[in-house]
Formats: sequence, C-alpha cells, structure tokens
Amino acid sequence: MYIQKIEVKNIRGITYWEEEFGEQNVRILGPNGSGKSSVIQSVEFALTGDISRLRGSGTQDIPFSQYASHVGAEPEDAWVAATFANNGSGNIEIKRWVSEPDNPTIVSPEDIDTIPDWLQKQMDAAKLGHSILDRDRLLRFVTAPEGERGDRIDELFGIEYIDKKRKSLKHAARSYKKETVQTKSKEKEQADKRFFELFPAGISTRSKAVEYINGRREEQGVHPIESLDDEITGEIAISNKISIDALQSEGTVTLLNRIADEFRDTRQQGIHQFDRINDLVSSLDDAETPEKTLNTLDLIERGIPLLDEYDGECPLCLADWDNDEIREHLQERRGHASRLQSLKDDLDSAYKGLNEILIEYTDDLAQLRSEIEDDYPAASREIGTTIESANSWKDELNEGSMTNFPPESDMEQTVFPDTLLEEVQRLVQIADEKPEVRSSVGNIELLAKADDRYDELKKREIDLEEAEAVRDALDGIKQHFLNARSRVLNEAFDEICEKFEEYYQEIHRDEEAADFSALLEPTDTGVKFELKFYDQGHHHPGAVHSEGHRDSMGLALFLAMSDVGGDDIDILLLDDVMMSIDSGHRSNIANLLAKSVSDRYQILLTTHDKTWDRHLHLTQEFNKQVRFSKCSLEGGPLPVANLSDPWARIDYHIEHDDVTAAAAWIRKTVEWYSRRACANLKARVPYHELEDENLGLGRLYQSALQQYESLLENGSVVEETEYGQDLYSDDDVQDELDAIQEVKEEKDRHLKLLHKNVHYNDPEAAFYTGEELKNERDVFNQAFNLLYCSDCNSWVKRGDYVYCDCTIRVKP
Amino acid sequence: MVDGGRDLEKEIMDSFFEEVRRDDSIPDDVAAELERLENQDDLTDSSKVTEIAEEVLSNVYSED
Repeated sequence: MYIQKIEVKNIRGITYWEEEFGEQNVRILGPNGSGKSSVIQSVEFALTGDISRLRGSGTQDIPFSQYASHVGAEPEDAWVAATFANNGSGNIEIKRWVSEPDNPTIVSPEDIDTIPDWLQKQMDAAKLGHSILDRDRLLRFVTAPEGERGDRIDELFGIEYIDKKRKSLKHAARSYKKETVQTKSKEKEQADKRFFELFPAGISTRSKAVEYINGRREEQGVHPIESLDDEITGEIAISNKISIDALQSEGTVTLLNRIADEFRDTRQQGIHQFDRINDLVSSLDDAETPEKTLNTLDLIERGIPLLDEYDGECPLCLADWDNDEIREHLQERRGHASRLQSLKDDLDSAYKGLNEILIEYTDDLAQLRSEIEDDYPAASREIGTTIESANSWKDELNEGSMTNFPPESDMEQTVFPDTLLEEVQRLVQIADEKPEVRSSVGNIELLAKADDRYDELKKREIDLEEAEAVRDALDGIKQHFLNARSRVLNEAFDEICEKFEEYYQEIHRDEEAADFSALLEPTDTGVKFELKFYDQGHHHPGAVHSEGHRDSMGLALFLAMSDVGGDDIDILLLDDVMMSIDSGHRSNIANLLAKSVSDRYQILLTTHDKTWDRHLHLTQEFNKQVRFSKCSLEGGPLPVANLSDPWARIDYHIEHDDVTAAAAWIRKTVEWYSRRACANLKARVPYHELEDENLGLGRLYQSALQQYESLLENGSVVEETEYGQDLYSDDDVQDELDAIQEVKEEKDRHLKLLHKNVHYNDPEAAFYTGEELKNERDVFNQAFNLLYCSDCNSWVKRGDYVYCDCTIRVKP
Repeated sequence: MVDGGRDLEKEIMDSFFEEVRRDDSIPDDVAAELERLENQDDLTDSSKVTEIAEEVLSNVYSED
C-alpha cells in the first residue's frame, strides 16, 4: 500500500498544498521552518486523525483543534485529503477534518462507505506510532528509562491490550485470594469452632469428638459411628428424636452465652480497629496524593542505584542535576514514600482485622438466629436486622480507594447496638430459667445439633476447597499468561536485537561496528537496552555514546522494530531524523534505506540537508523530491519545484475567497520570478535592496521589467542565426514593448494593493474580495508571461542574444 | 504488506491458550470460557475472568 496523492488545507502552517507522490519514496527538502514537518504531520493526520507532536508530556495538553489548524483557520476549514493505493484493490481517497478527526470520510469511490481492511490496518498501525519517527521519538527510544521504553515497545507492537489483559488476570487472582478465599477460610473456622463448642472442653479433634458422640450414643443404646461422616443420630428411634425449646439446647445455649459474654469485648475490639483505621487514614490524608507517592516508590528505589551511571543527569527524564542534590532529593522522597508504605501496610492490616471481627461476629449471630428462629421469632428478627446493618456497614467500609474512607458512622449503634445486647441478655435469662431436660433428651438433642453443625462445617469445608480450587486456577491462568508473554517477547526482542545490530552495522561500516552487540531484554519494569562500547562492556546509550550515534541507533532500532512487529506497516514517515549524523554515515543510511528498507515501505522523509538529499537521490530509489524554500504565515510553505505554475494555487485561494493567502502567494511569486528574471537578464539591483524583501520587491519587479524593456528597445532584431530558435520580428518586439508598458502602468498602485491584501489586519484590506484580487493577479501574471516563456518552459535570458529556449528576441 | 512481520499479540494469546489447555489442573471448560471472553474482548475485565472460573469449578464440584 502507498500514499499516492495528498491535498492539505489549513494544517500546521500549510494554507493549501497538494502533491502527487505516485508509488515513489519522497524526499522533502527545505530549510528550517519551511513546512516540511507539516507535510509529514498532514500524512500522519490523514492516517490517524492525530498529530503525535501535539500530544504527550511537554505539550501541556494544548488544544488539538487549535494547534492542528493553521493560524486563524477554523477547524471546519482545516483538512487533509489523501489517496491511498493498494495493488490489486484500487485507490481510495479519504478526507479528514480537524473538527472531526475521528471520522474520516470516503471521497472516492463513492459506492463504498467503509474503509477497506487493508487501509484500516495501516491506520491502526499508524495510530500506534508504528510508522512515524521524528527526532523526539528517536531519542525517546534510545534514551528512555526501562519502564518508558517498555511502553514505547508495547505501543510499537500494538500490544497495549496485552498489558491490560495481564493486569486483569493478575487482579483476578490476587483479589480472589484476598477477598473470597480469606472469607471462606474464616467462615470455615467459625463453623469448626461452633461444632467443637458442643462438646466439653478438651475435645478439639474429630476423633475425640467421635469418641464423645459414641459415649452419648451408647447411653441411647445404639451402635457407635466410625466417623463424623456417618449419621450422628443414626439408629436412634424417630419417636425419640423429640424436639425441645431452642433455649434448652446445650449447644445453642453455649453459643448464646458466648455471644453474650463476648459482646462487649468484641464491640470494643471493633471500635478499636475502626479508630485505628480512622487515625491511619487521617495520617494518609495529611500526605499529598499518597497513592501517587506510593506508585513512585519502586521507581525511586530503582533510580537511586542508577545515579552513578547517569552522572549529573536524572535517570528518568535526563534533566541536568547536581549529583549530591539529586541523591539527597531522591533519598528524601524515598523516606517519605517508605513512611507512607508503612502506613498503608498498617492500614491493610487494620482493615483485615476489623473484617475478621465482623465476619466472626455476624456469623455467630446468623447461627444463633437459625437455631432460635422457630421458638423466638421476634428475637430472631432483631438479630437478623443487626446482621443486615452490620453487613451493609462492612460493605461501605470496604468500598472505595485507600483514602476514600466511608463517612463517619455510628458503628456502635449500627453494628453492636445496645438493643441487641439487651435481647441477647433476655434470651440468656430465659435459658437460665428453663428447666433442665432429661438426660436422654439432652443426649438426643446434642447429637442432633452435632449432626447439623457438622453438616454446616462440611459444607463450608467444601466451599473453601472450591474457592481454593478457583484461586489455584486463577493463579495458574495468570502464570501461564506471564510465561507466554515473556517467552514471545523474549523471542521478539532477540529478533529485534539481531536486526538492530545488522542495521547498525550497515550504518557504521567501521571497526567499531564490526563486533558491535546490543542487549535488549524485558525486565520487571520495562525493557533494558544497552550497547557494547569497545571492550568496556555494555552500557546505557546515554552514558557513553555521542548524539550522532544515538540518532543512528534510534533509526536502526526503529527499523528493526518495524520489521519485527510491523505486519501492517507500509508507509514510514521519517521527520528530520539525521540531524546529528555526519555525512559519511548519512551516505550509508541512504544506501540502507534505498536497498533493503524501501523494498518494504514507501518512505517519506524530510531534511534540510542538501548533501543528504543528494545522497538519497543518487540511490535512484528516492526520485520524488518536494522542495520548499520558506514558509510564511499568510501563504504557507513555498514549494520550489512547483513554481512553474504557481498561478493555479493563487486561483484556488481566489476561488475560495481567501484573499490573504492569494495575495501572499502573488507577492511571493512576483518576488520569486522577479529575482530569477533579474538574474537571467543580468539586471542591476543594488545588493542592499535585495536584502530587504519588502522594500526590494518593487525594485526587483521594476528592475526586471526595465531591463527587459531596455534590452528590447536598444537591441537589434536578428535576421538569421546558426541556432534553431524562432526569431522575433520588429512587430513582435513592438508588441512585447507594448505589453511591458501596459504592466508597468500603475505598478506602484498594484504593489501597494497587493501588500495591503497580504496583511489581513489592515482594515482597508478587509473590503477586498477574491474577485477583486483577480485584477492584480492578471497584471502580475502578464508580467510573468513576459519574463518566462510558457511555450518552451524556460526563462528569458540575456547572453549573445535576448532569448528563451524557443525564440530569440533581439541581439543586445 | 511487510514480509515477516510478527503479530505479537496473537502469538502471546495463542501460546497462553495452548499452555492453559495443556495444564491438567485447569478444567478444559475454563480454557474454553477464557477463549470466549477473549473473542468478546472481555479478558481485560477481571470480574468476568473470576466469574467464569467460579462458575466452571462450581459445576465441577456439584458433579462430584
């Protein structure tokens, strides 16, 4: 796939510009500020709806629509139309407006309304930064700290979703273990406690429980059981399975008494943990943005050992620092973050403690409730209400982030209300007043209770076992994911590294490159990238390599990554990436791009360096050149190669009633052709006037016309020559002189009008329309046609004759 | 198209599912459900991952 044609309106300094690229690689040449990068950014915008240079750190979130549009242009009138071609699939022209960057419109063919897969894939790849490299990005690749480089590589490979999946699987395993398994474990522990509290103190194992149960069964005259899994009340006659009042049940009364006895202590412990949480949260509140600080602790821990390596620089942002100052600063931040970490650990522990108290408390209440609900429904409802309130309060406590503590609540009244204590105490009193049941009835009741509570214990054991199986499965899933990610990325990094070394050696065909090697490997925090430096081991590129080397490394790494991860990349945009590389290495890069790289991609690159441009041209793989001379606020970039017909562009602006741009283009065109005509006709123009463009324009224009007029007036008509050109007759010369006279009339007025129209803030200029400007265009176009022959596309020159390539005017 | 380009996301996911399917301690239905989540772009939702693991293992336990 390739970009065949582009048309740009009001984007980043370009007022209007269009160009056919065909299927060729394109060199965009021009001085700084001439609009080269705007072309690259326009292609990027066509592909992605974004301009990456306007994003990211350092841009202070500048409004995209304001800065993507040309100064003063409305986003609704700022757009890029691009024609993409795919061999075998035909062409498609899409258009994007700055006002709606995410909604590209298909201009042609008209019969399709969705972007075809082949183009959509390219757009997706470009959106991930796969295909554009400017110098900022280049340096970011090379000099980035490990963590950031990892993100850049994730972006390049389009595997940001992999990271989201990794986090999701990790969170699922961790939170399930922390929340569900812990709760199930506590619930099982509670059931265990309630089962064993049915028996006298000292019976704490299942075998002893079986012994005790068998003693009671023997008293009832039935066979012993072998294990608790047998029916504990088995063989006891149904008629004997009498029901008694719940508060005559030994097990229920033991539970009731324990709840009553422990109520105040439990409440006190709960309040204590709650106060502790409150205090800890207040301490965290005192710290500014504690979560952010905690997130940076690991980074700081890893950064401090790097300070020696990054002598005088911050390892993260590479800003200059005094070594002692940055060390002291980071140690202070580490101390602060460590204190916060310790507070957070205490807070986690307090949350866990309070949750356990609440689970234990509500679980006992729920058991009591289930055992008394038939005989004491009112008390059961009271207990049920408290359980509900306590669980709601617990949920509220556990919701939200670390510092988003639930509002101050009356824990005492919500979770441990006095009314419940009173109800429990009333039940204790009732139980005390109940007559003792007969021993045989007590036996049967205890065995029945043991049956019920053992069933509950078994159920909770199974629940816990199931939860642990889920936890193990989630752990396994997470681990398999991490293994798969690590294995594939390691392989990919090995491949990138191999290609990177090849590219680097292609660029640096010297001794140093002969045994050049690199390390590129995933780490816990990102990606490590180090290079061999002579025989001094591997080092971070920022530590030992020159800026030029880093530039070439960036390009080599970018190309290697594009090769390995760039299934959908067909277009590479390289914006001024060779700035610090010397001429010899640039020549190598030109050959590299022309040979292996351009086979795979259509390359659009910008440069201000004519030598580098020539290197590329000589490879014969970069035959298309777009050249700008300079850029103005009013007229945008001034393409050099296309000035043979600048009038079409002027007409376009006039048709769109963009008087300022049209006037600016007329002025630039007049200036340009007047300079060329003065040079070709050997007109005398004082040097100091050439230096001052505004003042010099009229003089340049006048000098060109006067010189041509003078040459025609003073020259003699040629009757015969050895050259093959046509010859002017006297009449022809006179016609030409008349035409010169015509355009010279009111020259000053025309130039003044032109000048006023260029400056859109001139009140008078606001009254001119495109239609009115046509008069000015015609006058200056007429002058151009005198100085430049459109029949043979050559300038009128002064030599032995005054001539163009097709016609001799006079002999001077 | 670029020759030899690698779709790393696909490679990672293929390798992941292969490992999960090969692991005898993880029920086959969990692997199948994870693939279903992946196809629905829901693997980034940790609650859905937990939900399917609970559901499948609950069925396994109730069958036992």
